[in-house]
Amino acid sequence: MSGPLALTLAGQGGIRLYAVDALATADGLRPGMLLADARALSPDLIAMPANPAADRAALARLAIWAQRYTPQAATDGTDGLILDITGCTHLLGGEERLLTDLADRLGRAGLTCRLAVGDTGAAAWGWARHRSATAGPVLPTGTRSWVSLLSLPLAALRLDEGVCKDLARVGLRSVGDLQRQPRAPLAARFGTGPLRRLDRMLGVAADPVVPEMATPGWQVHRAFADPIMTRDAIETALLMLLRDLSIRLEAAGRGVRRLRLTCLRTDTTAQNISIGTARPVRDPQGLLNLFRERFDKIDPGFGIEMMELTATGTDSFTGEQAGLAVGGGDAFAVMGLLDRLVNRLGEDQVGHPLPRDTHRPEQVMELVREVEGKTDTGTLCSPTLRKLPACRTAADATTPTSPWPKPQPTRPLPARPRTWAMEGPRPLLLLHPPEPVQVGSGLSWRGHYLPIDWLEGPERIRPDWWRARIGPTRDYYRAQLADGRRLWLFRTVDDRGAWYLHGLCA
Amino acid sequence: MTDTIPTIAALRERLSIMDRVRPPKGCAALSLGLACLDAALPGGGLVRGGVHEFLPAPADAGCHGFVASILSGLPPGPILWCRYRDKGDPLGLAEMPYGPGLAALGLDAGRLILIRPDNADDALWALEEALRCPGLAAVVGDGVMPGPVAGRRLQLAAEDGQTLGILILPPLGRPPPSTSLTRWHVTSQGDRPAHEDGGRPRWLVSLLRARGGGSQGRASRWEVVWDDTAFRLRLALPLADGPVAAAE
Repeated sequence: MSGPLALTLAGQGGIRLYAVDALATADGLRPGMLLADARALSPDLIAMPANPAADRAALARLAIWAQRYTPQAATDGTDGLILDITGCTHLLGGEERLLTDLADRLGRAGLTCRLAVGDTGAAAWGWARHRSATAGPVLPTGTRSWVSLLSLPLAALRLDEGVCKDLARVGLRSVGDLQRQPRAPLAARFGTGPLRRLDRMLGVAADPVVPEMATPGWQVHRAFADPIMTRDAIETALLMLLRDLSIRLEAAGRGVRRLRLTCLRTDTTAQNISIGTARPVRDPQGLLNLFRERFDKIDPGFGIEMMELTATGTDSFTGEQAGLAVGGGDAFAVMGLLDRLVNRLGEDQVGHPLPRDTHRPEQVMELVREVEGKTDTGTLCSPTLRKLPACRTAADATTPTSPWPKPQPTRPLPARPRTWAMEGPRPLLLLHPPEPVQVGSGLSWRGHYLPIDWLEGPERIRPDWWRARIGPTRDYYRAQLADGRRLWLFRTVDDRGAWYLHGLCA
Repeated sequence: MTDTIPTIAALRERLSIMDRVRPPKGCAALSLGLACLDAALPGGGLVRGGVHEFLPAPADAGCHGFVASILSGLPPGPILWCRYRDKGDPLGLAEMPYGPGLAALGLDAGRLILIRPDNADDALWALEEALRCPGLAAVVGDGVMPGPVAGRRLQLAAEDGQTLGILILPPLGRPPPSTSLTRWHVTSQGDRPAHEDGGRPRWLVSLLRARGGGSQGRASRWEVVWDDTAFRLRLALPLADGPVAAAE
């Protein structure tokens, strides 16, 4: 293909040039020109439509390819890659040789490139694009690079075109010009943008590289020659994945807390199911059992062609050792039970009551999720969740004195548990939200009239003064109905004086 | 039990162990906390490895209270409390066992693992799984009414795990027969007001059924009071102006 080449894109006022090659540049064509004008300047111009989305995807693929040099590789703008090669250069024998290697490989792939190495990403960006033709690609380290950087044109700071023009109008043309200006008036006139870019270029401010794709630490996948559809096949495949993962986890001494299974179907849709565990686990069979409860959620459609298993949360594995402790086997059985319950019923449905330090009766008992391992907000009590009570031991097996001993009921002396101690009477079953009732000589509740035997109270419970949303103070009463039921009622201490049923007492 | 031949008595004993109405050798049943109640049961209390049913009255916490008072006597260990409410239940989905109220009956809510399944199938599945788990002190199914097959499955699961299973049934007039070891009916009874040395939880407890039939010839209705100072059950004294209890 001879002759100048340009890629075009529909733009304002018609089709405009998107990118031009060297020959076209020599003919005076610039990106942004109307195609009609370009044809007038260069009659033998070959114009082809541009595809920016594909360009971006190709660049992202290139960034992932560049992870051969460093894990910290990312795309930079629409036409650049940035590689954080800190600590990686020795693998190829230094920065120069890394650049040579990179240039060779890109050249063989038919890509032209401009490379630069600098202390910061911004410096490397500017040096790659705007250095003079005679300068080498590698900048010296530290402040010794400043001489080179300060001689660059302002465009090397990667500023917006408008800002660049404004700065040029006041006579600032190079990075050095900008650096020598007092900062405060400059910021007042042009915003903090130019200064921030300058600081990042000179290494005064941080300029981190966000890698294109965080390498997933714990991911295994398996593609199938034929799409699978049956439950058995999915289960077998999952077990193989779990075994693969388990081997890697075992090598690292870790267990999973959260797992995500992604099923990629032939119709290019993906389905996810996630499980969580209360303690680090890596037993493939046990994990498979947890997934089994969720298998109904998988719809294979026309078949699953790939399965991907990602451990989104891992923890150091302490399992087997802890099992040796007294009663540990039972405690682990309970943990396993909790995992199964949580994964089938849902995390919100399985809870562990914890007392809260508040006056509001409905907030005194908080249900803490079993999986979380901590309370969400606002609890003043110690969040000791995984501390299950000690499991029952052999202590309740009394030693028999005769071959057929008379069963001796054992019963430790009960005592009021301290953490839940309350001053007044409290209901056994709490209604939340409270139900409105009418109280006269008797109680009207849901259309039934219930005569009251006696009423005990009031116990005044104020809202928590240290919280912002303050409801009315309540006067609580315990009432006994004529049929023997005992109820817990309150009356709001405000203008309405409304009665509510808040619980059933034992 | 009037056998004079000791072998027959021993065989009877053995059969009743195999039938799970009596705790196996070396194990003790869970006492109800009152000697006359324990004596009515062939196992001398609630036997582990079986399901015991408690039938409440509608919108009445008395049955829950009686169960909590029994559970307070359990040896340490977590208790799974599965609360399920059918849509037709008069109290709806709003009510929950409440920590301070349980504490007043001697049961530490910190021991509970509270689960709230959305449908009856999940509730029965959870109960069965829990009953098979050896680490739990007890498993409570609150508001769960198993059918004949599900009830049998629960009973077998409890035998497998040697766990104490307790079902608080939904308030039904006439629940169908089941394979559980015992069935109780508990209703709240009126007590004197607090200023007349009353105001305590007071229940009328009836033993409707006990497998192994221990209650022949004995009273199977008791009126009991939870003594909130001694933290134990005691038989109620008949009220001066109330219904006379059949207490012994």
